[in-house]
Amino acid sequence: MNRLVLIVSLLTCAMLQAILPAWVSMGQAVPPLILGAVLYYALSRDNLQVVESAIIGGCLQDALGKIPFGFSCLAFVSIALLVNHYRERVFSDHWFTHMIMGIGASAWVTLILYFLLVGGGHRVGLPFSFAMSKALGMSLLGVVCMPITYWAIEKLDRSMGNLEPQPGRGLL
Amino acid sequence: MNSSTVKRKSWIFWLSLSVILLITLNLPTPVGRAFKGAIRDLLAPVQELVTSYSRRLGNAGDAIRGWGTLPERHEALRAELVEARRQLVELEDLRKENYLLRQQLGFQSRTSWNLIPGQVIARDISGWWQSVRIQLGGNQRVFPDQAVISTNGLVGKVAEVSGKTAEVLLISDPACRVAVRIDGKDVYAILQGQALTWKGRVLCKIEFINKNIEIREGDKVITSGLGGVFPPGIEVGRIVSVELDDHQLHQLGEVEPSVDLSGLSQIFVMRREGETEP
Repeated sequence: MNRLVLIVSLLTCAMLQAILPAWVSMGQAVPPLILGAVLYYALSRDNLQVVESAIIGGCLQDALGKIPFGFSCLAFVSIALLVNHYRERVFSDHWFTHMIMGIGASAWVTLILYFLLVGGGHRVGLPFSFAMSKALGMSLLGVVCMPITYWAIEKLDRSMGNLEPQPGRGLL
Repeated sequence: MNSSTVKRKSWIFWLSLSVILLITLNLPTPVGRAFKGAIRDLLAPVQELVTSYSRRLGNAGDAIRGWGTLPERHEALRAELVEARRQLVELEDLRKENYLLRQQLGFQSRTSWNLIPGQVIARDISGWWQSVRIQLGGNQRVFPDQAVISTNGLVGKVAEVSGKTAEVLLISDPACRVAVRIDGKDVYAILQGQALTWKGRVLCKIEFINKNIEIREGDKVITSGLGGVFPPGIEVGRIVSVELDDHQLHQLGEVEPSVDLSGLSQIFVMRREGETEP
């Protein structure tokens, strides 16, 4: 059931991310829903499932766009393992933590992808200011998306019996 | 579990992870493309369904918002239809006349193009490229570098193809270059996409325009047909600004595309008659 929820969540996030409008004036920032799902697993699971979610999420993001295969995997795995490493030191199921994680992780992933794309010659001449405005836009969208994604997947996990039910617990 | 077993397990975990990442990052391009194609084809039906429902929702919203102006819009569309029918009759006569004259002069017949209608099912998921995905692919004989248009003008060109889908690079992307000319003037130039403005306005830059020819704001830009990818005569956009380059050798300017690239839904892929996979 755990894996089913993982795959369904990532697929749903990918579908939504592909149709939700981009924030064009902020470097075409897109709502980082797949990253939100990966962070959920990074904050709530152990190493293996964290890596699984990051690799599947990365493959989906790369396959559904023009990013060369593997770039997003690397970015997602790095941030997922970092978040997972520090999850014991933060209130991992608090919405404020999710907001902060949303900001940091979105910026991290955007900058890693920028350096990989420009360094690899896939986006020659793309100015760093574009990456900065995109990172800012992604961070702002991450603040909103991350708590919502976490809440939705947690709800799904509980309804499928992967986590203990917590009746009456809302988003906040 | 003793500490040496834990250490060994942890070591195996990191080693496997590194190997997986290295393999994924260094996949040969055809293999990576095949993986991408397989995932895209697998998800294409779901994506089509999701997009069609979200579009229906959007249309319903538009219909509710525009309820009051419906009679005026209906009237305007009716007038447009009458005008289009009149032009069609006129063009049909001209086409016949042109055909007869060309036959008399012994000219080769022009390449004819087939339009394959398609729907946009998603845009670039990462936002690093300005591209959209359509539900036409290799199965419908769509190949890389075919021109893509909409009812208002040039949209872009096919960049990547899988069996059921194709990625269309929009003219607003910096990686897309189009050979163009200014309509009504004998001026040829290169149009290239550029990053979006802070206000989110889509503008393309046009370069290498002969400095001795007067270009004005509002001049229509159309494809020149040079380069072979884009057929000649397709409307691209209008000049919004023009100036001399730093070396005072050419003119350069900005062009606003005639197609609303952020709200694309229906597009047409242009295929030469009898075209086969390159």
